[in-house]
Amino acid sequence: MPDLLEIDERTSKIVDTMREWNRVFPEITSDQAISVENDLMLKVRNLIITTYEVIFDFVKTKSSSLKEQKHAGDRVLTEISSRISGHEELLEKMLKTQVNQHEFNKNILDSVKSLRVHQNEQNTKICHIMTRISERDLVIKHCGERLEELEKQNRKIGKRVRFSDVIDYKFHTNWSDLSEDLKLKCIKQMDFQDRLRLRITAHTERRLVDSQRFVFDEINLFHSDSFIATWNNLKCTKYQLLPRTGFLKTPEEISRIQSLTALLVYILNHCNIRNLSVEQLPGEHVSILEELDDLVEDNSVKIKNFRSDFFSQTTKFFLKKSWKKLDSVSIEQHGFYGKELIAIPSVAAAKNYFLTNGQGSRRLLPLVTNFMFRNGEIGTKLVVNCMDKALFDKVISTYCWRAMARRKSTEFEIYSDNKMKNILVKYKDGLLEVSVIHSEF
Amino acid sequence: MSVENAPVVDVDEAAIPVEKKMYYRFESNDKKEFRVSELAIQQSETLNRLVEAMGYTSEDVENKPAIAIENIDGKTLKLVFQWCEHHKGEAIPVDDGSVPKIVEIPEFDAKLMDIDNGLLFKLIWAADYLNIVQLLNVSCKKVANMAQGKTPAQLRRVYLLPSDEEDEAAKRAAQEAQDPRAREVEEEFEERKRQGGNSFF
Repeated sequence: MPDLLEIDERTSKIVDTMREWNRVFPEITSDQAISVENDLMLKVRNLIITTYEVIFDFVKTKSSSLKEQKHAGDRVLTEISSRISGHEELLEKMLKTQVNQHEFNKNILDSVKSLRVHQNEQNTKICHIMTRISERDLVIKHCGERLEELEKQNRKIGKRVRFSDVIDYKFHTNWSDLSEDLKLKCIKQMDFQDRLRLRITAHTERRLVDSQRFVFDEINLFHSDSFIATWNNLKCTKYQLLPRTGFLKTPEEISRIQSLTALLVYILNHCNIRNLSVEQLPGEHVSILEELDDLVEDNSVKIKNFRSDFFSQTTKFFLKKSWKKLDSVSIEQHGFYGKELIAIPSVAAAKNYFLTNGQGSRRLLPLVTNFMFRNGEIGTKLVVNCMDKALFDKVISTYCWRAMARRKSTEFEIYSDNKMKNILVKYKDGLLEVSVIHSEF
Repeated sequence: MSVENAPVVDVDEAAIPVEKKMYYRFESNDKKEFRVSELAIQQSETLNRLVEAMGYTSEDVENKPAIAIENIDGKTLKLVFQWCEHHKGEAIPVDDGSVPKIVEIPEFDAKLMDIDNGLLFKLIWAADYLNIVQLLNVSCKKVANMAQGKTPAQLRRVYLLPSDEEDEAAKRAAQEAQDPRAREVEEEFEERKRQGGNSFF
């Protein structure tokens, strides 16, 4: 960095030179400039020399500062290159470490592989041992059963006098220690909702509750006041989906549930129903049937008596799911076809039918024919509430060749394919009744 | 008849049995003795068969030692015999298992079973062991009534059911306990294998 004093000196020299030029310049234009040897030219020459000195001095100063800058740049370059070499060494070290790590990983992988092989061998061994244990357990179980059997026999013949002979009969003091048989006796006395709550307390309780089918006296599905209404021992419980508004109409009587489908699936799969009454499912909930279809097997629901006001999709669905031991099917709708009914296996196998089919009752002829010649139980009945005699006339005209006796104009006895059974067909007060009776043979 | 007046008495306080009525003597595991009428014993299928097989006379009953019921304590046995005396002569219900019957708890039974849970469960065991059908029905009904309207959490408390965590812990403990046995069986199996046996048993 040039000294301030030096700068001032240089600046003043430049300023002096410039002043001198300013002073000389007007003289140059005069005639004196023509002669070379005059004082003015001498001054000019001296001034030119001074100017060159100033310029030289300036260039010299500039060149020295540039040299200094160059030196500084060289120093920085040296420093950077030394640093780069340092980094290179570090990188080399890292690379070496990575290679070592890779080798280490490879070794670990090999060890894991060998451990896995060892584990598989151990697993096979354990399986083998478990099989042996289960074999031994079976023998123990068998011995236990045999012991129990012997004990029962002893009891029967009254040989056992001393109660002290009984081994390992301990009395316990809480529910968990009760035998499964005793737990089941208690569960049998519980109502449906208590069972549902008990089955979510523990795995064993869930298994026990599910193993004992609850019997409903009556279930009404999709009626106007509730989705599901159950009746047991004259006690009614209504289930409704949780309301979005949170408004409870009759909170004491209606149980709000999260999922209608879950409850229905449980009822259909794990309970027996004496009387099931089904109404048409409202359109917005029809998807429930699709969900149920996958979760409940066909011909699996244990229903005794089935009743519906409509031969609708909902009715068909529940008849399809019903087992083939229905005591009765009751449908109160006009105008459906008998063929449609007997196409459903549970209906075709049902013992009794109570139908209302006033308009076009002749359509029921296939159902009547199926009933008469399927060799049904004596005492079973098919009753159709007709508006006219058309169905009766159709039956008689079709099977008059089988008629054994005409008791009245509206009462015929015809023989079936079983010699022990006859079919009585009668029409009275708008009711056609077909029943299986003993033959006099 | 109230619970207090039921004709079951400890042997020290017992009245001398009338000749025509035979009273059998039973002894609990804590050495308490009870005299029970022949008619009351009929409520218990097990005891009834037992006394029939023994064919005791009135003298035998007095001279021979009391019949020991070693699995039931005096407190429970007293309740059992009180119940039998109160219901003596009543028909024994037949459970065909087809239709669940509605069980009503009579007033006497309700008072008799107004006891702590531990004793109630003992009573159930005793009723089952002695095969007293109606006592088993009412005691099970009492246990079922304990569940009425309870939430699952409340049921866990009432029945002392294990929580899911406890259940898991018990399973783990069982698995851990199984390991030494597995080792033992494995050793035994290997030993047999060395000896050339084909069957493990």
